[in-house]
Amino acid sequence: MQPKSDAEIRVEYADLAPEGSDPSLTRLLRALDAAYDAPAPTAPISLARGGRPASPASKRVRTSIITRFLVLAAVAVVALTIHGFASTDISDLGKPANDTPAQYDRLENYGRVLPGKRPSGRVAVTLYDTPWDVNSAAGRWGIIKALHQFGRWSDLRKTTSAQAVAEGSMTDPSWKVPTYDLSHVHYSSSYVTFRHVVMQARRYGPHTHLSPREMALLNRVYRLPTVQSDRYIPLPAVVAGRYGWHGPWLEAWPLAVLQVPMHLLSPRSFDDVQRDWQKGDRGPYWVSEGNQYVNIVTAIICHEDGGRPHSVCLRHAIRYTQSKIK
Amino acid sequence: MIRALAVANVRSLDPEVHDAVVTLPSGETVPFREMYDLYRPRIYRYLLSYARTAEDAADLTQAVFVRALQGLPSFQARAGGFNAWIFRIARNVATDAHRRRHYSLPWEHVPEYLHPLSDEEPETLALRREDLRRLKVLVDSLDARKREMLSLRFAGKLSAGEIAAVVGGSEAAVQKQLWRTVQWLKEHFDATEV
Repeated sequence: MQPKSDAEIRVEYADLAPEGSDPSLTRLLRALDAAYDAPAPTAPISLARGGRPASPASKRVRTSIITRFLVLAAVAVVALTIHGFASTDISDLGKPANDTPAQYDRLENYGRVLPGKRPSGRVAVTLYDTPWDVNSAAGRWGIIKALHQFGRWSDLRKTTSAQAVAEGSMTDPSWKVPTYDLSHVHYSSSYVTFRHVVMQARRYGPHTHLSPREMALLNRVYRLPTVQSDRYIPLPAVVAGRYGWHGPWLEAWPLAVLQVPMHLLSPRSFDDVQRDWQKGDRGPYWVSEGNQYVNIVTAIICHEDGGRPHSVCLRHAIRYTQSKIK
Repeated sequence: MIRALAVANVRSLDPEVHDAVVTLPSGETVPFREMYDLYRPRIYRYLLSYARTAEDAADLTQAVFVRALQGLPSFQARAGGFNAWIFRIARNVATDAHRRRHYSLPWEHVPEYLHPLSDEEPETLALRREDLRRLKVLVDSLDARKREMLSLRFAGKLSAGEIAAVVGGSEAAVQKQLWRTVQWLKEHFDATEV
């Protein structure tokens, strides 16, 4: 393999090495180019669903997985026999997890939106979203799980974002994100009140009529000069006590906002997604992202309610997250 | 051609997916193989920065294309286009693998271990290897996000706009971060030269 000339390097990385830049930069770029330039295997990779023949190491791993699977299946059968079938409560998204965001400096989309001291009484949580939007659909899962710890949901139903797509929506119906239908929901809690506001029935449709005070509050959530009904605004938005944020998952990880809806896409069903949540650490990686979000929402509510109830707010992950809230 | 695939539907999946045919809206059919040949080396190189071995990277590359085939019918042209879409899949595959297998060697694909660098003289080769060794130490000291941006830029050959669509953030922010990272590497690369 012939190394690339300086000229080739400068052309390929013109964005990093403008004309006339120092030769040592070209040398560094050449080294980086070489470092990342491993050739792909010459033998074509089989894309057959069975994949290529397993290596001995892979076979050992697979054997081990099969053994574990059989053991777990046996345990599951025994457990089901003893305890009956698993919960059919659709708000049950698994036990509280200990996932905490590692990098709080990236949590730029949440913050104080109301001044003053902590209000007395129950913490008011308001969810602003829209039924057709995939991010809104993804965001509901985290809110349901977080508030499940403080109270009881009833009249939740299963739906998908696509089912809610009204005529004229730009949303591709193939983007079916399983989610909760909140149109008949009730939430009872000694600690939290929940309100759901449908911002737009469909894309480019009118906003729900909000009071000037509430519009001003949303403006602070978005840190935008104005929230206008004819402009795209990122949904969902949540206000909990004096704090507000927007996006389906807090940006505990930079890609979360982009990726979470992707992971919930069809052909996955509501039940598939619920089961993934219930798996916790054993589930797909986005469950960890989701649980980080749940813990942040939980910590904000605990922060606003003086740490009640203790069973929720004294968990290490919540106390740790709460200590980061400004 | 690849952009046209954006709105394509996978018409059929033969047992050997190499023979799969993608039908464009115009009715024209394109072998999936073309897309595979075009992206395989870049995806593979990118995944090497996540995988422990070349074999793992090959496995992950396979998984990316299987997922891409499954996802093509619902693909939508968005920021970054097809490049960003397929690299997002690669990133998801790598992240899943990382969680499941606890890969912990993020930059173990320095070519000296995997393939000959060139036909250059031994002395020149030794110098280049020394450059790579120093570079590896520096890159390993970067945070995960910066390492990933470098991998997407140098292994995946993505533009700043496409990287932004993969990792999040604006194109300008990514460009600035890449620029600063490269400048930082240059300063320290020069400083550690013996």
